[in-house]
Amino acid sequence: MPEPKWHMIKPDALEWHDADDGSLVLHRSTGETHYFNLYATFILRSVKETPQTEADLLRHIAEQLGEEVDEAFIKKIRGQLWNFEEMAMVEARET
Amino acid sequence: MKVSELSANALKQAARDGLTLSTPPFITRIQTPIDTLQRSIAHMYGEFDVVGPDEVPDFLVRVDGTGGVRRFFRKQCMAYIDVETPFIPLPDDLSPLMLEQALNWSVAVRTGTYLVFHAAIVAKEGRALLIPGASGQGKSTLCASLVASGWQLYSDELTLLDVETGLVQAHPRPISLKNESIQAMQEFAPDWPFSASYGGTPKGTIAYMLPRRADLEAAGQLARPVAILMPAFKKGVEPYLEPMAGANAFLQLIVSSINYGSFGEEGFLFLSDLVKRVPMATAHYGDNAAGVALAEEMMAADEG
Repeated sequence: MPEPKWHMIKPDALEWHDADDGSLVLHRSTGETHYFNLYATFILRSVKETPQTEADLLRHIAEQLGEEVDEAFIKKIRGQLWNFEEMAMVEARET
Repeated sequence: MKVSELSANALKQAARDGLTLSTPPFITRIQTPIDTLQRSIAHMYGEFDVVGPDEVPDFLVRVDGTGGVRRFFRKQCMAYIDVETPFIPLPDDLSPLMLEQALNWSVAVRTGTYLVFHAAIVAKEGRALLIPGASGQGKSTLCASLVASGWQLYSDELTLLDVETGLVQAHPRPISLKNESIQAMQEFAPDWPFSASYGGTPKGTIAYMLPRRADLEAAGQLARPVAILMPAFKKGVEPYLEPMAGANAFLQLIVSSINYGSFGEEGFLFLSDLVKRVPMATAHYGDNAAGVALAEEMMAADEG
């Protein structure tokens, strides 16, 4: 069975305001505006650009941010992905 | 005709039946049988124009006594907006505060056409300075200081922004001052008219600095927001501006807005653009004159 990939549910549903200290994102589907720090912004942007498995995503983010893929790092990224999932922005699916 | 041109009896009768005032851009009808409030309206709204009873008001505010046993030992009043009453009763002698509270609530909640911010706003030659800030940060005092220094009063409490034109609308009303800032403003603007002081409120003592006739006559004007200043008053602080930008600036504006959520994407795109165009800073200052100087500095940046 292929490993599920993280996708944006509706990439067009997000309106971005990017800034040096993070971003504000309007989620048109819910009408809510969210503030994301640079870290969270980078994760969400990565999923938007390329749907990826969790393992690929961890590798990609660690490479880009110069971090090590240790337990704390995995926990942090997973937690953030689950937050995005709860906001109905991303989902993991087997395609 | 101005309110101050009504005889005491005419005002009393009008207040009982419904006194309709021009409070641009709105028409407001105030109805009250309470003597204290009638006298206060004569003073605080003396420069406002009375309009005919046939004008359809945007807001109808009734301030009346409450029932119950309590009225026998301390009279209380309550404001009703049409038939709603989202307020808690106040003693009769604080009825002028009840009226101000009810008028602010009406503008904030019932004004669907404007993006409304909990922010003071003043202007000069069509260029407006927004002063957002939570209660107690010095928003109204800075606004009052600027008005006493020649700026036009748009509002000390609620900024009305038209997202289609990007312009702010003046809605001048008495400026609410609290505790130490009352005396500070009376010293800063000794010739200015002020209301009576009202003690024993949940926020301490409150008094109002009254708008000039010139502010009311210019109330139909619109201005372009060119700077945003968050006041951070602290006695003894050396004045300086701390620039604010990016996501934090955007976030501060969302927090200051009362009805941002109801504007959806239009509101988001408008604020996103505003934050990119308009400089924003926190003003640290320890006295009124220093606050005015920092505001002038912000506006000068736009001229440059």
